[in-house]
Amino acid sequence: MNQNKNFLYSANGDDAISATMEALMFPATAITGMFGASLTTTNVSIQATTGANDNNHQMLITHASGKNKEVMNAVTKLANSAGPFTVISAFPVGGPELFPINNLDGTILVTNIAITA
Amino acid sequence: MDNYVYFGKRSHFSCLANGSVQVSDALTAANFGIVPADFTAATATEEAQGYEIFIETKEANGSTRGTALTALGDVITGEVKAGNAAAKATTIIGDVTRLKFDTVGMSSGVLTVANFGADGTDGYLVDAADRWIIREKIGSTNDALSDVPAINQAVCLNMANFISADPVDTATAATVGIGILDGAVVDIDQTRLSFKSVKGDATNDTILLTHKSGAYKDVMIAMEELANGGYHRQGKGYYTFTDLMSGKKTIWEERLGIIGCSMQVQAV
Repeated sequence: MNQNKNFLYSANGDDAISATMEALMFPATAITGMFGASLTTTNVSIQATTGANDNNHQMLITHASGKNKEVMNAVTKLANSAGPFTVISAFPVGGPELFPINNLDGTILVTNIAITA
Repeated sequence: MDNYVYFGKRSHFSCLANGSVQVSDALTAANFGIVPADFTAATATEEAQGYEIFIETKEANGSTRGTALTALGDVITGEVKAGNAAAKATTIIGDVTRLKFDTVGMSSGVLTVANFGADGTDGYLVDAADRWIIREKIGSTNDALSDVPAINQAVCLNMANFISADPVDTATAATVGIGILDGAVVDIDQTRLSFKSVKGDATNDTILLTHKSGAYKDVMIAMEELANGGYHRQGKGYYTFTDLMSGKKTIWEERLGIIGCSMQVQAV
């Protein structure tokens, strides 16, 4: 049976993806919460792909100053988009990093997404 | 697809003048969201610290309120008491006085105010029946309270991780529940919302909502609406439940009479 799940994908600032957490794909429903970490960064917590009952993965989004709430809204829109494979950020081989998340709100100006296990 | 709910903090606490009447009960992470930084009297201002401190008079007394406090006018009515010095220093039941930081200090979350006898200008002699209201000040210059984002200042949670809503007992002697809503002192209640941990461990994250009296069930109905609402099916699904420090009112703040929101989210 087709699950029709929406999966999110983000690359981690390296066009030669070759190591753990340089990119992550996860079901949109795995997002547990978001909060502003500073004026220019917002943290998105994602259920650990290891199955551990602790230490979720973190996606730290760098953006325009003071746009934390707008970034959370944009992430929510991506999570609830039709999918099924929704790109938040990507690194095409040989090209610059792309941030489709910026298409949802022209003011957030996301410039980096770092993923940590 | 899930709905996500944003909670912005504005700490709120109220208590009876228990024990040594010149001190408040302790502000803690559990009842106020944060333990405010220590400061000593006459070293800070309301604007700099970011807190407003009020005393509601529940027992009429003479020689109670300093002249500078009287001159500020009643917090609710705005009336500046007229008459001679004795009349101005007398409080009557229902007066709500804004304290000045000239005589107020904070240590380990406990506020201490100098009494009228010690300072006839900025002091206040608290009666055992009086009630304290302490809340974050909108528009203060203490950016660390809300303007510089950090954990436990605001959080956006997945409603799929919502676990429960429980009433909080605000009727004990120590934590009498009152607040200022729509220009009047009213009884308030609190509801604690529990969510699976953002961090991902076995300890829940919690939101403490302070709202108008008797709104427990209405808060719970709102949670059901947020969890089961179809907004996410439109490719959206982001709700702002509280954003009190913005100075605006969300529809839920308006409907439920929400005047305070604090949170305990584990550091990730």
